[in-house]
Parts: sequence; C-alpha cells; structure tokens
Amino acid sequence: MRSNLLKPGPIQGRSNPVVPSISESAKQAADEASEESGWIERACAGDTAAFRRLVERYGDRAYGLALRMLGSPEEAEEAAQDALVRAWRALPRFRGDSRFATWLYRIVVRRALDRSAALKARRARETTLEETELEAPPSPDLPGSEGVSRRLDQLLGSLPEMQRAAVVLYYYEDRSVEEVARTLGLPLGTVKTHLHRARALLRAGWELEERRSGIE
Amino acid sequence: MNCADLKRWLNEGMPRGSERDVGEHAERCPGCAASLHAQLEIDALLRGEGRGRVEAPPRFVDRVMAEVLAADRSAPRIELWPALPALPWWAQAAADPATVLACVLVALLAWRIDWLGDLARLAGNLGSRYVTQPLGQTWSTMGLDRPAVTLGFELIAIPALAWGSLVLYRWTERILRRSTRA
Repeated sequence: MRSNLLKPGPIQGRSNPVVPSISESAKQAADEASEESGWIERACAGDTAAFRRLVERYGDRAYGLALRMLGSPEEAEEAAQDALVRAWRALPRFRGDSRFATWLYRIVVRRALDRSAALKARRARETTLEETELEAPPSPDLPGSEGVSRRLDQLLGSLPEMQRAAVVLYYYEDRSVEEVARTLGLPLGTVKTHLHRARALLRAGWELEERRSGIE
Repeated sequence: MNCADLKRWLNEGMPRGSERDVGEHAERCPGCAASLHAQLEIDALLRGEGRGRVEAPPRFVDRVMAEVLAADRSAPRIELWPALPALPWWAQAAADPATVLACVLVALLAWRIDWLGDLARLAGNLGSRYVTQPLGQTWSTMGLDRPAVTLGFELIAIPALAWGSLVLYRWTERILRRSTRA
C-alpha cells in the first residue's frame, strides 16, 4: 500500500478541471501495464522495436531524474543514455520482482550517483580554494525554473546525494516511500530519515534566502 | 505543541490531525510561523505547481537506440556473484563477498593464531636464506642473525600482512562490484 505519511498535505486546493472517472483511469492504467509487459517480454527476447517503445515511454523520465540529480543537461543525457543501454543489456535478467519503472530508475540513479562522484572528484581537482563555494552542482535549467522554483532547484542541488535522490524520486517522480527504498536499495526507515532531513535542510535554506532577500 | 514538535511535524510531511495545535503555536511564535510559511511554499513547488515536465533533448530516443543496436547483448559478461535483490543494508553488507572473505580470514586467524607466528618465522627464515646467507660475513658482522632482529622481522611481518589483506579486500570488492553492477 502506498504510504502517504510524507506527502505534503492538501495545503491549498488545486484546480483540476478534467478528472476522468476512477473506472476509466483504472482501465487505462491496466491497459498500459498490459501493453508494457508485452513490450518487456518482447524486448527480453531481443526485439529492439519493443525496447524502443519502452525508451519512448521512460526516456523523458530517466533524463529528468538524471538532470535533477546531476544538474547538468550534458551529464544527465550521458547518464540517462548509459542507463538505458545498460537496461537493454540487463533486461533478460529482469525477473519482474519490482515494477519495470522501479528497476529502470534504480539503474538511472546508480549511473547518476557514479557520474556525480566522478564529477565531484574532477571538480575537486579543478577547484581552487577560492572557488570552494561553487562546488555544489549547478542548478538545472528546468521548465518553470524561475524565481522561487529556481531557488528550490538550487537548494535541491545543495542536498547530499542520497537525500536529493530520495526527494527527486518521491516528489518529482511520485514514487511511494517503499518504491524509493527499493530503487535506492535502502531500508524504509533510512529513506524516511533522508526525506525528513531533506525537508529540514530545504526549509532552513529557504528561510535563509527569505531573510537575505528581506535585508536586501 | 512546542517549537521542536512543530519542526518535527513539518519534517514528517505535515501529517493530518495536528493542524489546530500548529496554528495556535504559530500564532504565538513568529519563528515557527516563518518556518510554516516556508514549508508551505516549498511543498507547493514540490507538488509541481508551476513546474513543467522535463523533456529529453531532441533525438534522444534515436541516440539511445543507436547505442542499443551497437551494444552486443550476447557478449558474455563475467558473473562472479548473482545480483542481489533489495535487502536491508546489513543483509547486503553481510552478503557482500568482501565481507565474507574478511570474515573467513579473521576466523582462520582466530582459530589458528599460531599460524601468524609461523608465517612470520617463515618470512624470517626465507629472509635469512635468501638475503642473509649471500651477505655472509657482513650479515653476521652487523648482528642481524640475533634473536632480537628476527623478532623485529616478525613484528614487521604482522602489519605487512594486515596491509596485504586490506589491499586484497579492496581489490576483490572492486572486481565483484563491477561484475554485479547492471
């Protein structure tokens, strides 16, 4: 069952003009799942056209996840591409214990974490002492990234890697805490702690920015 | 409700049921009111308000598929260790081949601690045979065949062995992690 403990509550109403009925959306989800399992089965057997359909469905999300974790569009594209090729190679070993998306996200997160570590090492070599404050990954140029959104992206970029990964998967990719735990290979309690700490850090950074802008 | 309770409530994602207490506390405490306001703004953004969907660069799918077609899936990969399912960290750590190897080494040493002495003596003997004998008279003149010097060699052998084990541990870990990575 999906845990909603950490999901922000309905603080203010959101307009949602077109809401399909529950039965319609459930039917649509079932159709998509059945279609997807067919693609996975065919892709396992070596059908590249079926794998293309999976890339078309998950490519944007894989790229978005990598972008939010790495902050650089070039690095994100490399990481997402690498992850998808690895997924193709590993697909015959996909046992279906978890959802395909969870399995794929795990590969993307691993690639992004590896690339992030390599980037950090490279930056550490290149960065002089005076430039230390620029060590945080650059804020991704995301759609709607203006003003307060941009501020949040910058704060997100300053979070420790695992906390950032947990926030991106939980809030942006709308995964449950259980799915985030499976994706990151962490216990449930650890993921909750990462999310709690991330919220505290984001809030502290936000309040600091508010005070700064108030002074200016 | 006090300030610490309110912060905890905010960190936990503002679960339902405490809104009234929070409201009353925030009215009395400007610091907590500011925190609450900040969290509401952050949550509104995290929920995706005003945020567009991220799209991969143009022709991303084509580039991925070109790589996929070039990738030889049939190429055998060296699988030294089966892929582990999502397990708690302690179970993964316990199942890690490097941990198993370290445990075996420690158990062996604990079981036959005298082997460590034998190993050091063997190193000393080998050193005597291949280093001290050719040096002959010089060695004896320098007093390197004395028991105290042999003991010194033995003492050096222990950290050297520990360092060698650590190198072996890291090397095994790296090799196995690389082979099990998807």
